[in-house]
Amino acid sequence: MARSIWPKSSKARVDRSLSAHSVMGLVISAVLFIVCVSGTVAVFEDEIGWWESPGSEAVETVSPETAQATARKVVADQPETTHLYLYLPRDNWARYVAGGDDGLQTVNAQGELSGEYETPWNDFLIHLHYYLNLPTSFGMIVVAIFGVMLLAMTISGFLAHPRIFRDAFRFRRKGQARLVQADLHNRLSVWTAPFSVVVALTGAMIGLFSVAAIVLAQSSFDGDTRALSTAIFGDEPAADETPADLADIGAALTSMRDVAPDADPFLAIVHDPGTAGQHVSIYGEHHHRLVYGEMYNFDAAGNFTGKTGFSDGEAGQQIAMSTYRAHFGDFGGLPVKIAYFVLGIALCMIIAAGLNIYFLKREEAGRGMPRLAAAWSALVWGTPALLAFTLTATLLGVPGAALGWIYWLGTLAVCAIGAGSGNAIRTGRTMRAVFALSLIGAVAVHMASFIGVYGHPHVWVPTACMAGLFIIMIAVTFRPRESASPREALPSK
Amino acid sequence: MSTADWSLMILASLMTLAGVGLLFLSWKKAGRPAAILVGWAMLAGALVLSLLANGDRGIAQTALVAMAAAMAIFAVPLLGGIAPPFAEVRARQNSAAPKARRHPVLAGLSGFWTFLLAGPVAGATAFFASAGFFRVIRPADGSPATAGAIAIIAAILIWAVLSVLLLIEPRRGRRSFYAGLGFVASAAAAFI
Repeated sequence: MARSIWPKSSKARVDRSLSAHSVMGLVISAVLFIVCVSGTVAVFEDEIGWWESPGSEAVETVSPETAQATARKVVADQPETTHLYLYLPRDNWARYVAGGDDGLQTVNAQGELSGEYETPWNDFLIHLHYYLNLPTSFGMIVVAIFGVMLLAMTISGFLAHPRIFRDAFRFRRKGQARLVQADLHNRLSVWTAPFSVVVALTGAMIGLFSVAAIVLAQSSFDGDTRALSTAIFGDEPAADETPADLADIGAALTSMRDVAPDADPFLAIVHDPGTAGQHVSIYGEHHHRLVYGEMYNFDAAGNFTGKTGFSDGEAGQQIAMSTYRAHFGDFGGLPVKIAYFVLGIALCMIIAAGLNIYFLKREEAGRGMPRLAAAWSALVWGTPALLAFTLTATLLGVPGAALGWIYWLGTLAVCAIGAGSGNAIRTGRTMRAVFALSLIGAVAVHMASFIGVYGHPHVWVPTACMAGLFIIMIAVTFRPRESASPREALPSK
Repeated sequence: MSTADWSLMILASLMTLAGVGLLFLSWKKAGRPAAILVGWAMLAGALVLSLLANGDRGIAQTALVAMAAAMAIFAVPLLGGIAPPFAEVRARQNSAAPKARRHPVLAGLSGFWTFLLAGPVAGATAFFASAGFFRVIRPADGSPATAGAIAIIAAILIWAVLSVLLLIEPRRGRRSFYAGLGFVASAAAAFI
């Protein structure tokens, strides 16, 4: 046997760590699983948003003149807006979207507003992941706390498994179910640990920023709750609401080419448009940095006035601005998004396997909880099934406001059905079938609704992926070896 | 990215794949610590190369390559199917006498108290401790941005570690005492 290079751990410490890991897992797994599944799907929020509302044409580039024309149309459409946004096309997102406080619209290559930017299912998905459909400021803190707990789970997991590096590749896929689940849980946990830590830490940082700002305001900034955000994200100049001509956003974009030729502008904002105090901020992506972007600031005439320092300013600014791309997997185009999607699925599998281990242990000890185990199985497979079901519903015209209710009431219902059946395998199989049917339902409705635009890759590629997932789910659901009931497989006691 | 940067990134990716592969092979054939060290060294070297080629974004991308490579190793057996999680459970012969169970209400209250300690109390302690830390590291002049960012990260890490430590402590009395002591000490550090 090979000698371990790791120090020996005391059995008592390992047992207590495992107990802490289990307790924490029992408390947080259900909600954490929903956050992780929704986050995994939300990696493709840009692609899903376009697929959901595919009518707008692809726009590869926007000239400064076109941007200026768009800005004028937005102000004409929303004269009272306090901010004007132009989301410019990026490498992996050939869309042009603009708007103000009252909403966004898609824009064509000529700068004409071409329709409402309506993506109700995407909005529901984001709301679910960011806020668990709770009121936003409260919900974001709750989700962030689950990020902290995921971090705590990672720490306790490493403490509880002293052989975790020595067994880094050990994976038994047959034999005793608990050992198979334990191997799955532990191996995926080790190898996805950097991903788990990064998404948990960055998610918690984003969500708990407001809490930190309040605490630091009381302890160090004489109650000024804006002091921390001003230090990190910069401050806005004083407003001057005297009416004025709209800022020259086109000139600012032209200046940007000289000021930062290597930075790709992807978001232009006019603050207080049509007033004497208006100014322009343009976010430019720096492709060798994780920062969301550098903010280049211009006056109303388009003259460069300075940058905020997200790319080369205070280290704290760079760290804070790096949390977004690191959390959302937006730092390398489609390959990185696919990697984040796969690792997100792995994280969901880790959580699912974690509770499976708990139920199997209880079963082995003669204290099985078949109803709870079945409810867990219902939640694990019911979560993607309900996401697919709400997608089909929204494509059929169900309003976005109802999706949250459908999802959460559906979650309660599937868990109740699972608990009622008391058969985890049958429940899981049923939920997988519902998932598959909902997926193919969404595909069918989408094709029927938008068949005219199916020549575009941004439409048919997601559809093809969903159809592929449908086939996989059907194959997994109707695999013959799962036909035995777990009750039948148990020895008589 | 320039051609040189692309070349460095490709080299870093290849080193990453080789490093993960070497670790896998050395695990399959145990007793070769040198191979393990070389594997880890290749991963570390790949991170350095990717930093040179594409900054911090390069490091993140190379880390993803390493994780994706490991996922690929596990995907092979996973695609072949694994034992279902609820089948073929073998019931252990439970010969030991059953443990004396606490009253369910007391057990519930105890669980709720533990939740309060590991959740809200640990969270408040973490934020107060990080606020105290912020007062120490905040520069007298200039921007507090870096100290602020460190304080936020510290709060999250302290909360996570504190939760684990409180749950690891087996005695409820000590757990409560440690949580209370930490809360008072961190509040003092933050506000006095």
